[in-house]
Amino acid sequence: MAEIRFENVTKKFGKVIAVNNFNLVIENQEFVTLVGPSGCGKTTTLNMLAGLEDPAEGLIYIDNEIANIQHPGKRNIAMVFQSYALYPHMNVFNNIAFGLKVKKVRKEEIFKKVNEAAKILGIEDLLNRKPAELSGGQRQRVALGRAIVRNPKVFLLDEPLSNLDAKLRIQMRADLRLLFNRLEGTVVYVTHDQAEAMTLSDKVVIMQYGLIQQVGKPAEVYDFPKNIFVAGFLGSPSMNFIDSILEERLDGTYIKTQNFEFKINNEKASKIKALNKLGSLIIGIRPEDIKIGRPDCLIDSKIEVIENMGSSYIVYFRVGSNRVVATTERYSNLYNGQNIKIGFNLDKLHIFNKETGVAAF
Amino acid sequence: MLNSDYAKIEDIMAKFKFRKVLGKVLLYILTIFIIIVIIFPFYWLVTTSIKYGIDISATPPIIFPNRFTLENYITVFNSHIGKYILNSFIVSISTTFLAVLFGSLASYSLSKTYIGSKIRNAFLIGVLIVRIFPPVVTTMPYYLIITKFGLYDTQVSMIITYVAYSIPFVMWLMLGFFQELPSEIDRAALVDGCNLWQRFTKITLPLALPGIAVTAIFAYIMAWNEFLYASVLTSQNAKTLPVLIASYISDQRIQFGPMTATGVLLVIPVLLFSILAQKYLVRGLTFGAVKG
Repeated sequence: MAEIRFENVTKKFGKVIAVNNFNLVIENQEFVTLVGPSGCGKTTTLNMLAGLEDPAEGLIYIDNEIANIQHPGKRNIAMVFQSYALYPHMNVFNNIAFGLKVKKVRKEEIFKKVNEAAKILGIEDLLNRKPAELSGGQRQRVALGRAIVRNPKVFLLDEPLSNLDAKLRIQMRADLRLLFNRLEGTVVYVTHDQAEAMTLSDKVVIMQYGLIQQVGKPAEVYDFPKNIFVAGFLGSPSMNFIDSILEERLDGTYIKTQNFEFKINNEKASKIKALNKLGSLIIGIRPEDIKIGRPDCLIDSKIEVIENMGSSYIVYFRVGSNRVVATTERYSNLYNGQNIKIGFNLDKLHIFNKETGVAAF
Repeated sequence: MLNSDYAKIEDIMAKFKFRKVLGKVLLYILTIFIIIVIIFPFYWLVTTSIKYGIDISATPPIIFPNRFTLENYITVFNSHIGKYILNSFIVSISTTFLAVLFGSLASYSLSKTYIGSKIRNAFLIGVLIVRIFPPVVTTMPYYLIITKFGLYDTQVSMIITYVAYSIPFVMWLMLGFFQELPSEIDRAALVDGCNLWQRFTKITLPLALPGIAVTAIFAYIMAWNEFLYASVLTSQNAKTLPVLIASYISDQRIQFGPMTATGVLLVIPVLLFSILAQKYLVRGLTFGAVKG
């Protein structure tokens, strides 16, 4: 069992800084997800932890031992690759057993362990097949088998679900969570899919341009994004952003956009003022926090498109020059081209500084 | 629809079918022509080797001989050809083994070590320069060096020369194969605890086998057929089959019978080798064309 610590880790490829001053503590048995758009440095971070890349600066500790100087094979980690990276010339049994064979584990023990792992993953029938004869989901399980058979301190998973079709991906997502709950290992998981990050993790690390943008529990980073990038990255459909300014009037503080304005309480007003004196702001509101056609709705809008998702609708509104997305339950009486008033749930409103992207709340 | 419409459609279909058939016929004619161009010299070699001496020099030439003899082969086998065949085998097999071994190791390390691309390219091009010279340019230096070391007319001298000449070729070909192998497999082996040697022998080598087979065949054919260096670096003891074939041309006459018979003997091993390795050859030549 392992605790992992990154201290000021930096990695450069030529002049490009892939990972910049990365600091993170991963607790024992924690499921941590590194998430971000492609090129944000998440895979590089994982590779450095695995020992496949050397950091330019900084130290990585696994169980208080400096891992930088250890050979990847000696770090007691297991990795599942995006392409699975199964050995094409070996059958499933040998693929899973390979790591143990390299370690010179006794034959009877290898046999026992491989069969155990195969049983956990439900691939006992496939042990004699070559990777080419397996489906994507089966290959995925073999790759996992290769990882768990070694009983490592840390599991590293690099976008393990991205090559599966949508249905299988959601099923495997739940299976993965169950599997790692049972194995009680420390897991570092890399993905660009915010849904995977939200559903699987104990802790989410959101990265962009090689920098950590925010670390926290999934609910925490979703409800209280620290900046506009995190706010926009998490959630599907993503948060609506509308340019606005702060306006002081005799009766209080208002937030004013091109098409509408609303009053905010003093506490929030002072938070915004602390953030940005000039008053150039962006308001953010999640699609599920938009009210449609209720008596207290005041913003004029026109429905552009309604997408039927089966269990819900995604509705695109035109508000002046802005497009606003909302989600709503099915069977609401909406139609394309309808003029309707919408409103924001002000408790769930987010305000960002337009220049820096930092959130006031 | 009217009956005339049906007639029109039938007319169009008939024209379409005719064009299709015509296209096929032309394609077959072209194919047969190309095959004749490729096959005929070989056919001429084989038939000449089993013709009577008088039929060989007949005018007009006899394309389809009606009587056959093995006397050319008997002549050849009575002239110590065994020694030359053995020389050819020893030189070719040793060359293939050494060139593929060193060439593969060199290109594996080039494909895996993360030296700058400029250094790597400089190295690869430097190696290739050996092949860019026409071989005849380097025959005299080789001759001088080999005689200085007292290796003239030995199999070792030929092996050294051929290995040096083959390694660039092996390296370039194998580099392509090694680079085609997904690096994630190699990384998986690294995480599984393999050192560099284990990764090479247990993962890369088995996966690169088709590439190695192709490379070995080409290296073997090169060494087996090579004439220029062999003629300069040998006189009696280490003479190989191509040099023997050339020796049937003297200032008095050309002994076409024994010459073609030796030619056929020269071709047989290479032909067998290629047929046996055909599975790998086809796979190897198309390796990397599509993701598999």
